[in-house]
Amino acid sequence: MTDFLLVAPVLLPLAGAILLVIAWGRLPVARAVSVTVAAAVAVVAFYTLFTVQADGILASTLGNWPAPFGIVLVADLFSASMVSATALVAIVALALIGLVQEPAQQKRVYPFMLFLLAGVNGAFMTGDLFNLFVFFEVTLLASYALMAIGAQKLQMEAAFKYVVINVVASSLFLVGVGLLYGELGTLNMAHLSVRVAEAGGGGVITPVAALLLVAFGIKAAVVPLHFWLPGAYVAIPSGVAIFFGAVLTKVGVYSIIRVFTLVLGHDQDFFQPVLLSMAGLSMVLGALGAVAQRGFRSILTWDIISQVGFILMGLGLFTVASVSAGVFFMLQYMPVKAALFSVAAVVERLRGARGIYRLGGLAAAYPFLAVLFLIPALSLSGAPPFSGFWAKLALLQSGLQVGSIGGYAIVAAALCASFITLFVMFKIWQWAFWGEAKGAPAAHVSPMAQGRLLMPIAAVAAVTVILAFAAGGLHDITTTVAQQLLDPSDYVEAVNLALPR
Amino acid sequence: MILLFFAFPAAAGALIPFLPGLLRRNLGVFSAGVAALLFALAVSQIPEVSNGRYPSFTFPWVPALGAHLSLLLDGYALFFTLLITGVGFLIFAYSQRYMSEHPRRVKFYSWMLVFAGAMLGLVTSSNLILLYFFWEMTTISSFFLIGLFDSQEEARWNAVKALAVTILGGLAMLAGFILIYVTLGTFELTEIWSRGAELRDSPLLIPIVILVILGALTKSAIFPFHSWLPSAMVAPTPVSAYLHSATMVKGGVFLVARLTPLFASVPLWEWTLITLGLATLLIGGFLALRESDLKGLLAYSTISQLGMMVALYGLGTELAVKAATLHLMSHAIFKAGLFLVAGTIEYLVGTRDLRPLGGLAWVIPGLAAVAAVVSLSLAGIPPLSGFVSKEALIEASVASAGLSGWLMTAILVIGSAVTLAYSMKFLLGAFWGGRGDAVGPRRWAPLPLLIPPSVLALAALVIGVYPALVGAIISPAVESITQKPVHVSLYFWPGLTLPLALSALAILLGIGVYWRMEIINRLLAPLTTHLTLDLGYRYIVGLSCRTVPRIYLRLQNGDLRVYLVVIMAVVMALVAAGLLVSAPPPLADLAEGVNLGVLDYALAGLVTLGAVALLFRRRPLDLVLVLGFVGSLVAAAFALYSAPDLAITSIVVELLAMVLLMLALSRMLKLFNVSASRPAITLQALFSVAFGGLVTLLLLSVLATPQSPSISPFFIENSPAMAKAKNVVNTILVDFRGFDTLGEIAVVAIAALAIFVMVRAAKERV
Amino acid sequence: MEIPLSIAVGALAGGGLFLLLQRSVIKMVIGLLLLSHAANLTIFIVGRLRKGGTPIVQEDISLQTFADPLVQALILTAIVIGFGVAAFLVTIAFQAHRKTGSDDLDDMRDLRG
Repeated sequence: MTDFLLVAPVLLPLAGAILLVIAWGRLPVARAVSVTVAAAVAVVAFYTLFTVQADGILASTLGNWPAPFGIVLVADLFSASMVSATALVAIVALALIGLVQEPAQQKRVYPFMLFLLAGVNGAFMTGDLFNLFVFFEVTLLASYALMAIGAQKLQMEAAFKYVVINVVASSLFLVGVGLLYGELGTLNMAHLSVRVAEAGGGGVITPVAALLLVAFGIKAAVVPLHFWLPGAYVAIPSGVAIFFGAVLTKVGVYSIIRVFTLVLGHDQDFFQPVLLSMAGLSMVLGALGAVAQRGFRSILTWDIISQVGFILMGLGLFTVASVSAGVFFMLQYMPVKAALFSVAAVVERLRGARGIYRLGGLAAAYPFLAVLFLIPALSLSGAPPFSGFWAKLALLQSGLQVGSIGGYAIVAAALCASFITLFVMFKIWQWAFWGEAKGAPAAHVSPMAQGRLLMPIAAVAAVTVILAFAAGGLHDITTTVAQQLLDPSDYVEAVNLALPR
Repeated sequence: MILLFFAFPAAAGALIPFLPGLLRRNLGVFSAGVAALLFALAVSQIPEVSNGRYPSFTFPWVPALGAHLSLLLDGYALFFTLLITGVGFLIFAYSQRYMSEHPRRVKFYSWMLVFAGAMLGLVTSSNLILLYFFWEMTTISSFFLIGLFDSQEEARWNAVKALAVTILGGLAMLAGFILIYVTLGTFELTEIWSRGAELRDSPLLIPIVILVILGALTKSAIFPFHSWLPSAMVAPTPVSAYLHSATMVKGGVFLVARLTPLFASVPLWEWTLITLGLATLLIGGFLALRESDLKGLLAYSTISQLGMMVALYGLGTELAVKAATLHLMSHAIFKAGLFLVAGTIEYLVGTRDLRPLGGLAWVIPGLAAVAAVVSLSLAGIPPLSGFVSKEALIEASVASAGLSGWLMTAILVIGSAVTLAYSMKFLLGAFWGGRGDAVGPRRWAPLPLLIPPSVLALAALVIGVYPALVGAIISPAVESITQKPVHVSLYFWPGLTLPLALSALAILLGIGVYWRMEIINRLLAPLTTHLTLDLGYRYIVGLSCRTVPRIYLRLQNGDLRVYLVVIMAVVMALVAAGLLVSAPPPLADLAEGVNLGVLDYALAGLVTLGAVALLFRRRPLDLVLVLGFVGSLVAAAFALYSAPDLAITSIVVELLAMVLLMLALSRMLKLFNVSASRPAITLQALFSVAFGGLVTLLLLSVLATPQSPSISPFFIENSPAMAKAKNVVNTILVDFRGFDTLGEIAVVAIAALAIFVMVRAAKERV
Repeated sequence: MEIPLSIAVGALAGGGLFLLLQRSVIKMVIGLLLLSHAANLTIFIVGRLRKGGTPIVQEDISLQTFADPLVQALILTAIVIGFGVAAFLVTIAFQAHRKTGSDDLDDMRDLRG
């Protein structure tokens, strides 16, 4: 059972993708299969989440080779909750792709979306550093494909830059893994954790860890490694952007959190200032970047950078409260961001325009869409009582509790970024939702069709509303996550290393 | 029960868009009914509360973060509740007619009720997080009300402006609240009150005070954060009357009063509030004096009056608190009345600009009578409530000893004089004198637009004549603020005292100011012009609209190479710093006891040579050849160092890659072949050499560190026995680490599929 | 034993980066391929170099006589993945060339983000 639970999030989408390749071009099949697979993954993921919460960390050794020799998949509360949130976003993204994208585009998009889902889930679940690299590559290849398959000039340009930068990142990652193996003689993360602890901070682990930090940081789009992101996310199809925006950078963030607690938690003196300055810069510069944008989606894209900073702030402060707050932020933020990108996708579909100055009057024309924008937008900018507020409250509290100069500085940066984000969200509102409609309206969309477009958004937006009241429950979960992360002994024990004594 | 105060109106507001026909046409009546019910509820609580039995409610919300849904209806909360529901009732009743033709009336009522709920929640909450929640909720509903008529660009901008200023303060306040939490471990107001001394001893006291004050100042439009309030006047008049005079802007004042027991003895708190409050009193007053727009005049007047209240609460003595609370009430009454009068004028005459107005007293006499009462109350003329509260203010100021007390008194007198002057301007400018250009024939103000302000005028009169009537509300309120039992005596005729004399002086002075208004305005013009133009805000907006995009386009210039240089610079900096702190073992150890053959050197040398050759080859075809050369050498290295499988694979892959590149190159007609300038090449070369050197250094450092026992022997030992295979590498790939291979296959499959799809898509389009 | 090859790796990495900084798209691709060679060699070297063996299990083998088999497996995986990426990248470069008519990177600056 455990084996199935842990493998399913990878194998189900993979199988689905293969099925879609076989049934290439049959759109109804593709839509049905994709959404079903995502839903199945969601069921498995949430079941795993509850199991883990009740019984503790699950681990599955593939091919029954004991860790650290074989590859092990691990579902602790962190990975299980990430897979769950991802599955939720995937359902919405896949459903909306079928509604907002051109059929010709859909045909090409669906198989790669499933590959992408498999890669992302693999990266979340794996307990092996090299296997993480492999699943990064699966994720990346699928994302390269999604970016480039339109084969237009802009997409070629975006894809080329995206691929080049990510290949560099992958090389750094590969070298980092190799060097760690060279020193510590193992690849299993739990085992690495034990070995690092044995080494007691000796050896040359810090510079190797720095390589990994940059490699992950590029994927997470942390300032100053963020340059690839804004262009890339504008060039992809709007439905795909929902998944990219909500999930993709989080794989990088997840890896940073995972590796820099479980494996490399020892070296806080060196990495804490680095992480905190990256977090602070990302928060503020990302938010300011959003101010500079005119496109609906590009504003949201720049905000991703800012929000990655918030998550890393939690890690950088490195207390149970702060890491918990960071993880809380990430988990609640994924559905919120998905909702916002969905609104952007629907607006593109309804009006055929992307620039907020070319839109207008959306609130009057589509009141429910307006509400579905407003709630996640408020949540994103940290307005109470939505989930984003609780995440920020927890982060600010933990930052001020630390009480160091770094803590105060990062809290100040977080407040600035929150303010700018709110300002930008209302800038979208001011131009796109208020005022008179501009330009020729796109093809008429019947109320039924509108309802179908809005349903998936409502589903994800509901998460942030529910969390407004149930924030305590999620906070309990993330506190456990933080405890598990900062004290890896449970994780190591669950992996059950078969070590020669 | 206490929950109803915020839940009921908020729910009603959410319900409004879905109401059926009859109710939908009479939303004003519906909303007024909601407010009336709540008012009755509040009145029913007066006996309980004045006996000191405060209804309260608490429910854990997110207890781990200290957030509870804690409500407390103490004297001060009840005082505010009565104001909010009472004034709200009248304004809703007024809106029934006033807003009947407005295209956005459904939204208007919806947000007004939500706002009322938020405001009631704000005043009854006794948990700071809950308070912050309602605080932001008032801000956001205010945003939608200011921008109600969103097709006007001005409305949109001013809504954003009000939002930006108040949110900024709100965030600062939140930070202050969290610092309180960090110090005391609680957000519960009652507990914070009881542990005030602890808070005052905290090293965080100064930042807490500054941050919380920022919240109060922005919300209550105190100088230098006042500029959003006049802009907010683009909202329909009932909104201005309700939010921007009687309720929301009192939020900051409310917060100051709530925290008085904690901070009244902190000099920073006291002096900041008094200084800025008094400055606002004067600035707002003089700005009102030069305003010719009725609502603009009232907005500046509100700013000025709020400044006075903040200053008095900042002073924090029992007398001052009593006076400020009383004045808060008079102000809510007469200011709401004044706004409604202004609204009725606009409704009937079509303008609210004073210049084309005048002589309305003969045109709409009923309205003129109401206007006279409320504006004289504002001016502080007996026997109206404004007089009583102003007397109390001066009395409190006189009672505070010392030079500063006298200074404060002097400013209060000047402020009262200016207040009287602009009240005269409002009243006489609109109603007295010759008939203005815009004023039409004589007519009756429709009763629905006349009765609500008349009720307010009547209240001002009754309270003025018989102030003891409101004693039952004021004294519990003052008690709740000072947290000491107090005896509040309210009287109309204080006897011949110094405050009375000062009041008389203020009236005389005020008449003088009105007399010489033009001169004063001209004299102060340079100063007031700069104070009205919210230069700071405009500067920031300009920055965000122009400068920030320009900077970002320069940074984010689309040049991939710049991005790569930044990334590589970060890598190099971090790795170099990491190497420095980790003190690797001496590299010399590596060279010990090793015998290297010619082959080793030759191989390494040739690879290096190949890499260096790249620097000097320009033609892509040459580069591909060099790549092939280097690739074969790498394969040779694998072979030399006992990895034949690798050697074979790598040579095959290398060949395939070369074929691909050649194919692509042969079909690319035009190749870019311009060399960069020599200095640029030198820089690139230096950067690359530094990178290469660092890579070697890192690699050698790792090699010099003894390896922990590898897990590899396990594979060698177990490969034949357990996996029944002899080639260990293959066994690892397909068995031990089969999951890697699965991923690897997926990668290749995706790549192949993607290439296929891409080429086809490109063909379809061509 | 590893020193000469380590220097060669550094040279490869440096050369790869140099090409990566050129304006020609095709040169950048070649640079990336060099970088991946450098990465593969790095892993190989840190597995410690050994001469004169094959990874076929015989009676008396140990880590003394042939290259670390785990490292070999990792590199094999990395090589194959790298090839997939490279093929994709070359295709993109080629398609981009067809769209822009050159392989000048400066023709690719529409997306400024």
